[in-house]
Amino acid sequence: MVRVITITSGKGGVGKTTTTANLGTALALRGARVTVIDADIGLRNLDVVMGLENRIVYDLVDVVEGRARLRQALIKDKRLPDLYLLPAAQTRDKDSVGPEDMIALVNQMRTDFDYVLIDSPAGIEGGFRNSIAGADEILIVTTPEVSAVRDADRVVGLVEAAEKGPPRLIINRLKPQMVSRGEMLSMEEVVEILAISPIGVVPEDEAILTSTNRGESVVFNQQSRARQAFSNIARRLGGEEVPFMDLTEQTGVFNRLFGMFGKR
Amino acid sequence: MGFFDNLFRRERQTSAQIAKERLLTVLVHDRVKLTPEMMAQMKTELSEVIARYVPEAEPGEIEVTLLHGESSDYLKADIPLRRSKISH
Amino acid sequence: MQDVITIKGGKDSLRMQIDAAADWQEVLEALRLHLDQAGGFFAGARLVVEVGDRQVSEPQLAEMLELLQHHGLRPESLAAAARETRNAARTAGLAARPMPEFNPSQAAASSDGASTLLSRTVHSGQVVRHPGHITLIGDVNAGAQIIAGGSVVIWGRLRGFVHAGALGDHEAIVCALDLRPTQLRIATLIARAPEDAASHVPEIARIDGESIVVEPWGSYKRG
Repeated sequence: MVRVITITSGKGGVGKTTTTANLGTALALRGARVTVIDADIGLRNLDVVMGLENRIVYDLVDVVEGRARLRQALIKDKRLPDLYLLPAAQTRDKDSVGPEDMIALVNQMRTDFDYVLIDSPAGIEGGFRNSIAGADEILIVTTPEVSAVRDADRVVGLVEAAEKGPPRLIINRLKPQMVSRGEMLSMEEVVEILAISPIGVVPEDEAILTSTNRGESVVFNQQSRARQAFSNIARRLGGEEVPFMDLTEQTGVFNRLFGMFGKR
Repeated sequence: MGFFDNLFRRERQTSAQIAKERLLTVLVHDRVKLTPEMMAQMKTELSEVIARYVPEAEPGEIEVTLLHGESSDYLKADIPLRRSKISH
Repeated sequence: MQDVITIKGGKDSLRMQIDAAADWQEVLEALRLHLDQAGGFFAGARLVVEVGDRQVSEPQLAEMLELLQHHGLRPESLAAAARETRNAARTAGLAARPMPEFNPSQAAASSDGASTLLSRTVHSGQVVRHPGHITLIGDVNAGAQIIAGGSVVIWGRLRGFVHAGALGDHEAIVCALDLRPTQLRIATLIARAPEDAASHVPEIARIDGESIVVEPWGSYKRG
């Protein structure tokens, strides 16, 4: 039985696309059959993040409009045999697809996959509504910044109105040192404001950028701190009880000293 | 960009350099608005035309790539020819 | 006058009932008065219009819709017994349906009770609207709206927009465990939270003379 999960945020630039790519990879590494869908019609991105930009022949709009069958349009991942990408159209605008199209599309995937992850476009207009139309569950990504949290709150309200069940929260790009200095909202504070349950917290990690530069998933980077965070989210999605990473432990001795001076 | 440049660059290319190259390729494709479907179609038609004039051309081996150049972007076609049986 | 037009709060939208016997001009006059008195209470609310057995012509309906829209209401559907009236509604772009069967128990349940109690977080973009008092156990986040005919009690943080006494009641109050709304209105008066507000004690806002005053719960109780 497939689970269709939309990853959304309201605000752009908080890491929806990298989260979708890395979570998809983490799930596939654990043996699940996964498709990730780029629902940002006209602003295709998930393909470059996954390093599959050279393999695109057909896209989501081709499938919706009947020029290609779903099987033809799905692109197999470079490393994982059970991970597929359905890319967005780059040369069309977002009105080429409607909510019914998205529902019909994910229904075609119900038998062959365990997870379908949909990378939603930023904003709260048509593209966002399309991306949640066929979803069973919603994950909201935010960073611990006031603008991102505010937009996330707006999305929580819209998801509630769409009766998709309570969304769960991923807090991305958390900087533990800044949190311990009291200069960044902590995970607990963001969760308290948004009043939805968290499913993951991902620390700021330069490896995300270097992996994305190469078109690889950070989940393959053993040195990465974000890697563990994404595998934990994958396990929690699977129903496992995994304690949240204690990010404060990862600050070095040097930073700890600073923290102590800072506290006075 | 000479052969040696290429050789050395391959060795220690930073992720930023890789990112730049990948982006340039992607952007050329985006700007030219040539879909992969159209590329495939163009390759088929090119092979037909070339085969009419150059029987030695290998229709299945033709490679067409969109490239980002210094002053302009260009389409590059690699058309391998079968070795001629006529010896000198 | 009160009986000619009745507006009640429903779950998702307001219901407006029109007295079947009253003259149409009388209906419009009563509606105009009702909306003027209500100030901004109805702004943005979705509305179901119930006209009963009355036959309403297209020009009559158009006149009423213009009045409603002028006050920010969003008429969505019309319930009428007469087919001609339903046709007029469809021409005007409303959903039209037959009058619902009268159901005494339902009528009692949906009648505008004096207050409502909610237990949830009100997120940005969401609106809680009630003609009586509103009591909320939970937070009101920035960008959310609470609009009450009566008083508003928030057992939590109030960060959004709040309007108490929106039907004109100057006696209405707003209180919250952490009172820091982006804007606070009581009846026709408007106040903005001070920039440095961080008292972290429960506070109460009320009208004193010509302005809104905010004071800690403790001193209000003693005073």
